[in-house]
Amino acid sequence: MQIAKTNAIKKGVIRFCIGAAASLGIFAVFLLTQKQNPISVYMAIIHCFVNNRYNVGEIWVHMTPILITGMAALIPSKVGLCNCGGEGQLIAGALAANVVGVYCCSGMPGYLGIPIMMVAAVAAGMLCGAIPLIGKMCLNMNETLTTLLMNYIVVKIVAFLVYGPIKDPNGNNYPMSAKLAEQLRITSFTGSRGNWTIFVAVIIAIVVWIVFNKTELGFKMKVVGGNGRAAQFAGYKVKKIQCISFLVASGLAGLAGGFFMSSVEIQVRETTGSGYGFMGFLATGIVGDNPLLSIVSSFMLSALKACGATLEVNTGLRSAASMILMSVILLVIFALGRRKRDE
Amino acid sequence: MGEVLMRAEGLKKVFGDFVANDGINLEIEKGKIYALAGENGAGKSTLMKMLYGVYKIDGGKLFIDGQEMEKYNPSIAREKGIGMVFQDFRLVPAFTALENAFLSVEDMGNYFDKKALRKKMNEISAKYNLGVNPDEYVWRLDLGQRQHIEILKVLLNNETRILIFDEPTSVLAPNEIESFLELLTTFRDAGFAVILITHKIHEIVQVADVVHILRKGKMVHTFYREDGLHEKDIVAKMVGTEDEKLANVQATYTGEGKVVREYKDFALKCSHMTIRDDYGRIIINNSDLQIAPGMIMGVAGISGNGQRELTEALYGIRKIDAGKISFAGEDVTTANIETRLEKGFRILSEDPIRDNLVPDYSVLKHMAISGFDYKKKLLDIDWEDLQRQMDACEEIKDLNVPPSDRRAEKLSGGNIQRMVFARAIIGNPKFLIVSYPSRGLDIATVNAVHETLERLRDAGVAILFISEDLNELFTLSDRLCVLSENMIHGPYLPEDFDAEKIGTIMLKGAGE
Repeated sequence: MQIAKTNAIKKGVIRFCIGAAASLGIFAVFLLTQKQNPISVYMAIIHCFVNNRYNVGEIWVHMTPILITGMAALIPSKVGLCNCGGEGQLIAGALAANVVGVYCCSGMPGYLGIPIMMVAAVAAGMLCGAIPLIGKMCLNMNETLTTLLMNYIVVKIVAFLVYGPIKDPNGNNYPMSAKLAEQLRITSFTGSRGNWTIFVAVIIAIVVWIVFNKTELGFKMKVVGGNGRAAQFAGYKVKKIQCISFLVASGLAGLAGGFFMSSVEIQVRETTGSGYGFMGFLATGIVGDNPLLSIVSSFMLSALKACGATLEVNTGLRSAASMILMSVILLVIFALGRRKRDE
Repeated sequence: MGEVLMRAEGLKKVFGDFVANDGINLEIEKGKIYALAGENGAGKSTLMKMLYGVYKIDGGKLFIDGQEMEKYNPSIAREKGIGMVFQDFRLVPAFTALENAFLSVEDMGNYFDKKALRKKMNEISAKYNLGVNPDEYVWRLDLGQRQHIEILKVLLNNETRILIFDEPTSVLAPNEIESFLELLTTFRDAGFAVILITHKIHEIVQVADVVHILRKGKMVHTFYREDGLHEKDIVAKMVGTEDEKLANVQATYTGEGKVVREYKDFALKCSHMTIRDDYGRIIINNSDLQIAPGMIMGVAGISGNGQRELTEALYGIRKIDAGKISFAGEDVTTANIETRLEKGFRILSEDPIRDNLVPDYSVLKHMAISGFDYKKKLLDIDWEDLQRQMDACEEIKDLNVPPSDRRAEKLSGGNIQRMVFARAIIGNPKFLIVSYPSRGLDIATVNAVHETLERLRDAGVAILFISEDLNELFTLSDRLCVLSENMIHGPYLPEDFDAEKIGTIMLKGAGE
């Protein structure tokens, strides 16, 4: 069994390398159509991060929310639910952290204020998850759709708030909320916007892996997700396990929003946090819901996101080109990750 | 001599280190019925899937019409005239028979020509007397009728010359089996080659022209009808010489010398129980059922008369509409499954794949889901201890449960049945619900299952035993009841009844 396991890992690594090579190849064709030299573009991407503290820091900035919302999609999927609402839960968390930070904690020292803001963020994420969850459990509404729809509701609520109730009175009438007080901001590494929340994100991913691979709880959760009827026949409390997992997941997404608000955004905008939830969903999806591989995939996605702007400046390619590269890589990894039928 | 349609030379299939088939030689001629017999896990299904192109062939050669098949897959197989009727039907319940047929028709293009397809279906259905109504929804049909749709789907392909059936009778009621076997001979006489995978010996003896015996992945013997087919010889080759004693036990199941048991008190008491099916219709109405410790209560009835609903209601998966269920003096009508498990309720459901199988989980992990009481190690299950428990477990050995590291979804239907049945009986059951325990199993395991049930009965377990095999019901049951006309009829003493009387109640109820 041990041998089989190492073989599987070897296979995975080989597959990953093939995937990376293939996607770089495909993208090279695109670059040639744009009259760009692929090699110099790829060198430029690497150059982005060599001796450039700021750009490396940008990777961590993107990776924290992507990885955590990834877990928020992964945990429910292991118990047979689909959480497409990481996006909205993250934004709700960011909103709550800002509102609580500005209106309740502005006089508090950081060691007190930041935890309170994070609790508020988690609660907001959970609330955002609880609504579709109630629909699912009581009315059997499809949670894939309801969580997806919740995203739009949250975005619209944020828009409503920043144009009105929470608009910064001293903000020159821009549609933005007030900024968090200095002491309520999570301090960055020197020379970049990166900060310690990335460690929390990685630890969360590792803990999730441990739970699903090394604990009785994770074992039971996977039974629920693998075959709900089997769990029911074994006397498991299926709905309870599903509900708790879903709430924990949406709470995590909320926490990611809190982190993002307190470390990067500082104030709420109409666009705050948009895109991260979906990217997190993708980051775990393409690696087959493996928490450890999710760390790698979210790192890659973040690096591509981080290099977009530099790429535009250095090569004249539009920054959207990095999104094309990202999509190519996603599709290739996704295709390789599918299990063959006759294995 | 018929025309040779297909020939295999030294076929081999491996899964990791496990050799599922090795050195298989076959010759399939027009107008003959071939039976592939063997115990569960002997490699019958694997071989079929290779012949049909589902599995890649790992060694050896396959010839169709004398031409070697280098590239091979199910769609090539269909083009070459090979049709497979799967054991687990591949039908969409929410579609009609017509719509399901359309899904499998390849040469009709994208335009859904309902009229033409319906006409063709009706023609084929009439020709072979299949009785398929193209516009009936599949979910309304019983398993026998669904099988007919599967067959019809295969026949819709004009090329079809070879029909492969995988355990076709395991889903049929006794009265349906006879007509199914007749259908097979009709196909033979119409010039088809028929390949039948089964382990029901009397069916083989009845219809097969050639019988291939598989054991541990190898073809060990071939019988021909010209030389005479005898149940005893076939069984002996199937189980191998060392197991011949077990096989003989089967032959002595005559019901003679049976003990009639009397019971004073009952463990499970259900009164005025009303149960609804998935569509909200009352399927069991205002019925009583009582089972004593040390009693096997056999339940006869044509499938679809509430067997599944009854077992689910007793086990607590399905809420009952009215009535009361008590066990050992305590009301358990509304008790959840956890509580029932603590009281010793165990179940082998009618469909273990649907109700028990967790994809990606090994046999060992399935044993942790229910069955064994595992120890904990930090936050995790102590897997090594569980493995030791499993190795030491007699029932697991007796029932030949597959090795603990096999992934459960890759097991054959029979092996899944063994695993789930073993799980249900370890850990001191007090009330055991078993549905079709011998379905899909070979003779040696069927005997082991029967012996286990009798042993548990003698140990004082109350057993509800659902089966379609009247022979089995009469042999094992201490009391019989019959599900028909939305009622539980009985209990009856098997000694007072014969198959005919029970059959009458099954069809018409116990009307005075």
